[in-house]
Amino acid sequence: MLSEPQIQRYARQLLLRDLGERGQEALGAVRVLLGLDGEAAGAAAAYLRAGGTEVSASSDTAAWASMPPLLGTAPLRPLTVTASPELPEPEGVVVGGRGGARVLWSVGADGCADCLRHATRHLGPPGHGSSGIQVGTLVALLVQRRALGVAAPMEGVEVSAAGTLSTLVAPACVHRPPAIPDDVLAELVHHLSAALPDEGCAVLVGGGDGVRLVPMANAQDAHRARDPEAFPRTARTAFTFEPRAWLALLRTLEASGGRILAIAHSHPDGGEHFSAEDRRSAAPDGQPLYPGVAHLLVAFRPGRPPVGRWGVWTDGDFAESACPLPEQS
Amino acid sequence: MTPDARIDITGEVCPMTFVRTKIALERLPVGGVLEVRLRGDEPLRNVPESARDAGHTVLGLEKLEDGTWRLLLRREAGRC
Repeated sequence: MLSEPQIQRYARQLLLRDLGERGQEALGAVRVLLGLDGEAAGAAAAYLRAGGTEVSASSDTAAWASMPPLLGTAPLRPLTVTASPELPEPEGVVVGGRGGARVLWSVGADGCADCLRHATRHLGPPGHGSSGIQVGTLVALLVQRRALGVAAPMEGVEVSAAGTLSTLVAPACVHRPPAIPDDVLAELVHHLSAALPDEGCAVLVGGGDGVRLVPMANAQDAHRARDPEAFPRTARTAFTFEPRAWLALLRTLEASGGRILAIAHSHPDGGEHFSAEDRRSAAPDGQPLYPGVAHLLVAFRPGRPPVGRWGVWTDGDFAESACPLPEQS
Repeated sequence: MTPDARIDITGEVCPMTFVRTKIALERLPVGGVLEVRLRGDEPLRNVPESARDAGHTVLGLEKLEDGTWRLLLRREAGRC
């Protein structure tokens, strides 16, 4: 609850929609470590402090930041502002330069560190241009949006050399498993269980109409019948998409603008982790065959519900995580 | 109707009239009723309108014998 001096001090901004008392408390609960210098740091610190957020600076050129806190409670939530190539951890804003433009990316604790690294990999240091004050006010805005909980997991803005603002589109994250609705997961489990005792396979596709399941046939036994040396395993322990169906799917997606989110297969023997064979076929030469496509494994176990497991290519290997499956009806 | 909370902003001027009202509404649970005592043309025009703009419901407004007004607001869902 705000004190009377706080209400008096922040009266004008308390009137703003999305702020109010709880918003003001959220601004006051943040402590910003400002890793910028020059005009941008001064402007960012001035706006943030005026808004009720404590700022500490790694550079003494931010004169505003060296002032003691005006009013407020103990700050709990650290937010970092960094100059490229340094990145904020776990949440905050990074400022970098590209040509004559400045680029700002804001990332939340719910954002993806790999996406941030990817989006900032070609940025140089922010530099010192005429837009320092403009950059500082944008830093303050991005920090306040994050403090108030109205920011996207990752959001960015670019200031051109001429001072024109444009918002940046956050990349679609390929470092984390995609979100798959429960009804699609249930449909997947149903399709895979129909293939038992063989391995089943399917593709999860995302597009304008949401996420959908594309059931695939396992062509492993057909391949093996033609060429047992190249395909030593049977469909009990391996899967291969039926090639014509796979090609048709890729063509359809190319025409419709859809995207493959995940390749799914089952382990009829209950193996709850990706096998060496799974890893080898997903990344034959140490690089993923389908970059940005996740792998979903459903392990069937006698007398117990199936378990789901994600495999996502991150930092040169498959990172596994649980994929909770809906209860079977 | 018995309000869940009361505030008196007869001694306040703009913008504190609505600042007080907004904070009092935010401190109520959704569905709670706030009684606001106000005086003068400016708050009479602005406070009910601002409350409506913020998504709350004006339940009633009546003039009292001492010349002040009694405004009843219901706190609706939303940030504030």
